[in-house]
Amino acid sequence: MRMNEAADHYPGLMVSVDDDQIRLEREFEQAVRAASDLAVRVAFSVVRQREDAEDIAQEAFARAYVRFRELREPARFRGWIVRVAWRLAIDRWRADRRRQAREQVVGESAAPGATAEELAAERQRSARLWQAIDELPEKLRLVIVLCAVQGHDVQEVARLLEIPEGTVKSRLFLARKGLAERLTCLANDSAKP
Amino acid sequence: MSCERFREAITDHASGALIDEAAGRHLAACDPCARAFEQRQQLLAEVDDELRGALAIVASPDFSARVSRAVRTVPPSPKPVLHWWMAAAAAVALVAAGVFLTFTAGRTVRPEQSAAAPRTSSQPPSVSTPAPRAAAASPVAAEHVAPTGRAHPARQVVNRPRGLEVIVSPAQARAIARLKELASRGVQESEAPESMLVKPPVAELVIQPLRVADLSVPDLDAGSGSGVEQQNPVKESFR
Repeated sequence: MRMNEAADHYPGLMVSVDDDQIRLEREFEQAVRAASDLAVRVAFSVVRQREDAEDIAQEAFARAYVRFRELREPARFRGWIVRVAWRLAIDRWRADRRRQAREQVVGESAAPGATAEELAAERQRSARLWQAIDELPEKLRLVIVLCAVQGHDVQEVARLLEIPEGTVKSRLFLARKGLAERLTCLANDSAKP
Repeated sequence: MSCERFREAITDHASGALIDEAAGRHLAACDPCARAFEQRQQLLAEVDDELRGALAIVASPDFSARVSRAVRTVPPSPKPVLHWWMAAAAAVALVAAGVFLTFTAGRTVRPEQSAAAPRTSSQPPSVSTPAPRAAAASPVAAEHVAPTGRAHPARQVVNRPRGLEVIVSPAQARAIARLKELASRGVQESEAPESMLVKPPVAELVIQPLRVADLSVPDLDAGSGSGVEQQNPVKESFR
């Protein structure tokens, strides 16, 4: 039990409260609320499991808490969280690569009332897309995911990754080009008897 | 043939790259290339939609609370401490600054000392004679007070004209500085208020005329006994 909580529970208890620490924890809670969706989405783009993504995001925030004094600036905090969540997710994904039971994303995007055939086709298309994304180099992959999450705000993505905007644009172009080529190949392969 | 030539430029354009003028003209005129371009654009639009839809998830409502609970097991963010490398860097910087200042101070003093080297190098400060008051405290000498970087701490060096160096006591140096201040204000020493004048404590030999009345011969004076003052021949001779 922390000092300020102890004071709440035992009104007569005299405690010395570190004001700076309390202020720091409040700032941290605000930062978590502001960046939680972003961290979960970044992790989800890799592991494609909501529970795993939230676990990863939680671990990233726990690491951020340890060095939050250095990360008090909101922009810096968001960028740091994105990079750590991405790295943790990649590590988890590599560890679980042999385990192929991944949640399929199509369940959430399929139109209600779709037939079984439509659902199967949608699932196959989605599987191809994520396979193509997984085959991209990590740098291109992170950029295309962040662009999708941030609504193609190149400036914001550059700020999050701490790289120049031109680098984001070139990586985005290469990622889109690679995805298109890979998806075309996968579609041609599946069309073959 | 021209379709093959422009294919890459057109597909790059569909992925977001700029297109040159020739390829743009071909794209506008060639139906198969225009169709390929539209297909590529449609494919990428689907990719964007799929990614946007898949990544539109939000954290669970209790996610922040879970994070707060989780971080309670983590030691709080430590206050900034002085790491060993910071202390080492500070120590190195301090030593470097000290060496630099010492070297710089030595270099600024040396030229003045070298100008009067024949006189001062052979004359240690402890045995040097303090300058006469008139010479040391004159405005001319006061104009030539030199900063003393390496001189004896209790003494200061005064450069007089023609490179003569005189070592004075701190009190004399203060008096010289005071006179210099007066000179800078255009005030003569005789016109200065008494509070502005500090007489340097120079040992002086005061010569006064000797008066015979100050002399006494105890033996002769004590031996009179009769109460009648006798004439002392020695005193008389001095009178």
